Amino acid sequence: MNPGKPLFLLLITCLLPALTTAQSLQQDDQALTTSSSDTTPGNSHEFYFTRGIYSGEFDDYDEGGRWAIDYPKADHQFLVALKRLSVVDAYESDNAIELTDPMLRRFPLLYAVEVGSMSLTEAEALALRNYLLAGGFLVIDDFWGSWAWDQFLSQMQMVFPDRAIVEVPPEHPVFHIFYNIDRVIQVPNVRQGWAAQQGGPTHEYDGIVPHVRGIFDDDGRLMVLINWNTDLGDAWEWADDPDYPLKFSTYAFEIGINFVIYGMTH
Amino acid sequence: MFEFLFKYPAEYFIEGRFVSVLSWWQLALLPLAIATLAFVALGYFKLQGRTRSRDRITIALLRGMALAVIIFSLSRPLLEVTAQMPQPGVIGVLLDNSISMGLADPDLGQRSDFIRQHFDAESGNLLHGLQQSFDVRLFKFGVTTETIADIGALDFNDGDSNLIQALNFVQASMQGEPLAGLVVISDGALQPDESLDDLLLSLRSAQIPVYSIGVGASRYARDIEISQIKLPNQVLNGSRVMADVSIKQQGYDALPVELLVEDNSRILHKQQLRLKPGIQSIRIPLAIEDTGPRQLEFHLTAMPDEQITANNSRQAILRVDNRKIRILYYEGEPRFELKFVRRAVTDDENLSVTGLIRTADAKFYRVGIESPEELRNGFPITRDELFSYDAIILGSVENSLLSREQQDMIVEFVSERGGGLLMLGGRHAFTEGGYRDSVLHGISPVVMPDQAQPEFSRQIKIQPTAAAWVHPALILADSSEKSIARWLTLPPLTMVNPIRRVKPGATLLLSSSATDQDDPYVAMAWQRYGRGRVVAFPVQDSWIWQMHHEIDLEDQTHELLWRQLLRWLVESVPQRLNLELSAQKIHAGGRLKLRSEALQPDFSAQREALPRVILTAPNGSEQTLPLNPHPSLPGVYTGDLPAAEPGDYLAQVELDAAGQVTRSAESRFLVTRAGDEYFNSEMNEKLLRRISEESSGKFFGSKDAEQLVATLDSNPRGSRTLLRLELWDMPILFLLLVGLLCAEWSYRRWRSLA
Repeated sequence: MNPGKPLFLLLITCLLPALTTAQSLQQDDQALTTSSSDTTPGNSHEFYFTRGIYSGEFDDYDEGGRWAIDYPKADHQFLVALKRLSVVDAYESDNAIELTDPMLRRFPLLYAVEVGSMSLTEAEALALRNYLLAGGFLVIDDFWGSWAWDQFLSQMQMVFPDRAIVEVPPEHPVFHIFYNIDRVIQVPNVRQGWAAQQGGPTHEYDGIVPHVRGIFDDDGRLMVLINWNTDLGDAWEWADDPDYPLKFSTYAFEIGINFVIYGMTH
Repeated sequence: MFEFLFKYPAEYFIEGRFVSVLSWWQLALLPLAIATLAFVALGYFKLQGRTRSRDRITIALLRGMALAVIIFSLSRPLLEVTAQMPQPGVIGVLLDNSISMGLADPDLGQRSDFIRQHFDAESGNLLHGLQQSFDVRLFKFGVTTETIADIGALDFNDGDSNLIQALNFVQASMQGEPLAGLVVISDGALQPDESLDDLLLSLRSAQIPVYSIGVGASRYARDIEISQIKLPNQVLNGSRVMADVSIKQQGYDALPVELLVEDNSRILHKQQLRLKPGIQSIRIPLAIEDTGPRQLEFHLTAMPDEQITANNSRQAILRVDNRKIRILYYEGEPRFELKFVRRAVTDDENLSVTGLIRTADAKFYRVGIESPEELRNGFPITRDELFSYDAIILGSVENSLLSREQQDMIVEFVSERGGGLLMLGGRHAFTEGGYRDSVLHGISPVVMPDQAQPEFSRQIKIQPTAAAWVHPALILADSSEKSIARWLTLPPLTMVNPIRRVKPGATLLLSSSATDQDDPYVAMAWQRYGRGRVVAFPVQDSWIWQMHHEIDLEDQTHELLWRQLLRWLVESVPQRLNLELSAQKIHAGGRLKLRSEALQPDFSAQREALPRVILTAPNGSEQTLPLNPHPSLPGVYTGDLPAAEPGDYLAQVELDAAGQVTRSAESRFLVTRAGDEYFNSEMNEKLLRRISEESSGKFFGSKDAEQLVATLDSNPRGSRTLLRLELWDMPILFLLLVGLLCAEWSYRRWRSLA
């Protein structure tokens, strides 16, 4: 790792509140409206950090759906880091889209969270399957414990009944493409992060060991990257919180950028 | 009377010129003779006594004139004149011995029958007619030309009829003889490989008339023929090959015919055509699966009552390489285009795309490398490293990311190494990338606008041009119709580089659909630059054709396009040892020229190489032949390949290093008995008539050939020879000398001076 990198990330972290506030204020609904528009959404940028909107079991949840956990601040803050640390031509705001929206295919990298509550319709499962087989790359984040895993597994079996989910080996390019990630660490949510400062546990439920797992296509291409028992989104969202441990934010930015660069090149 | 006194006709003295055979020292004695004359004259003038001055002058004049006559005779004067020699002279008769003489024409019979009927030693009326006036020499010509005693030496089996070589040969072999002219009996079906103009100039200057008798029909009433096939010399295994086939026909307008293309009895293509008048050209796609030198057979089904069916089939040879093509894809930023291009060619065993992507300001990621050292220092800075690739793709890479030296090297990569360059669109490409004033603009097929438009972004619907319909890289379906239909249904792409013009000589392949207000944007254009090809593809997300929701998962359009485009881009990329043959098919007994080029790792000429060629004959026997360095082209080696027997030959060029074969190249060629004799086999009246008329001879059809003898007999020209006639013994000189001496003696007697 570049020795100056932690300081750099610290600087990013300090800048994030101001940037995200400004973005929130000026946030138009350009990207969001793309999901229902027939016209092509902002094609002036190469990369849109796209969050998948899926049907879930807790859609009556106060926050409007589990897909939207940490949305849009996590997305914004991650994009600030991505744009600052790489030369990816990224659209600076969020871009959420339903799985069944035809325009999903315009965005070959998709981010989805809280998939333990995912309850895909057949149309969504088919759309996601076609998206991935066509060349899309799905990054899963922020679901914990065996119960959530089982739920997610059942959903993935709707998408790919015949494909196994396997552990992504540490030597896989996704861990080394931009930053060298030597060890997968558990990134806690904000509350667990605060607690961790005091020596508390970082896990939720029985999700004690973090995993990065994947689903590969016939050519060995990683189609689905599954971050289980970890919460990168919270680390992005709360990177500007002085009480949230820097090491988790740093790690979350690093591996998140790796995911993007990998998704754009493989 | 004149001829009695002067020995020769008066015209000789009018047309000719006087010369002397005396050498320089003999001529130098002339002043001495003149001085002697003067001395004699002075002697007379000094005489005294009874003589008067008038007597002395008269005697001196008579004696001096007698001496002048003697000196003139001693100087051996000659008269040089080109004179008509009285007949009989010599006539050379050239008889065509090629296979095409075995063809039969309606109403005319077999072409060789004409020779048998008219030049048989016993019954040949034309031969006898010529022999009454001329000394007739017979020659047969085909692959070579030979003197023959009679037509029994003809077998009409030569695979070529090289008339120009034959006329040159006969002219040279009969030099010095009183040649009345040459007679050619031929169908003229030849492919002259020497300059006809040179031959005609030679015949005119030697004043040798050529009389030709054309045998056979000058135009078939009913025939179809594959007159030409054009194929690339080499393709990559699995590539789509476009074959240009020219079909010539008479008598079958608008009728259907089937064209079949086979590779070793495996059908590659079958197509129903409707015949058009005259010559029509079609372009057909071929997918060749087998590697190595391939011999493709093109067949047209025989038509009812067709005169010649041997010209319905034609062979063409091309080499299918099964090698790995290395392509360097340089991106200035992470882009989905690279991901999908690499994905498109993943299953292609012959394509290897190595990506070099800038991920941060001074950070690069390499993907698809073959060794840890590959591209370790970023974009290559040496010719060796860059030239190890076959093609370069430049993505969204701003001008400043490539040094001037690297850009110069890319230009050399294309022009000298023969590599392919593909320039993709992107926010840092073309003018928007600062290339307007770069050397890369110089080799680009498009005219980059003066001003960058960084905010420009437009969705464009791609429209193929007519050139794209038949372009091997852009055919997206089995037929042109399906391919065009596919193009028109593809979703729009994003363009961020507004380019509207291609350079002169470049080919526009894809453009945006035209609107009323604007000229269309250039979406793809290409041009050859030096030995390589440069393609501009200024769209930034062709991957939409893979990901778009309207594109079926099973649809292979994106993969097909990229595989074909990259394969075509490197189709003619030379290797470090190359082999070219002067022809793909020759006649038995002919020779083929071979040219091989050996190159260093940086693709500069390898001067000290000593490649050799191993020629494998159809019976499996091998013959190793040396190659000679080209006198003026470093690294180029040439040689001749003999081909005695018909069959399929294999030529392999090998190059050693440290006692081992390090590189080799191979090609096949076909040797047939007939060569191309059955093609364009109508009697070539135009050629024969031209040779005859420009040499002051005459062309005859086979039906009016009887006029040949009468024409030659009535020709006032006869045979012409340059004559040098002796004048010293002309009777007039003797009479003049005797007359002068007698006159002097008589004068003396009259004046009582004797």
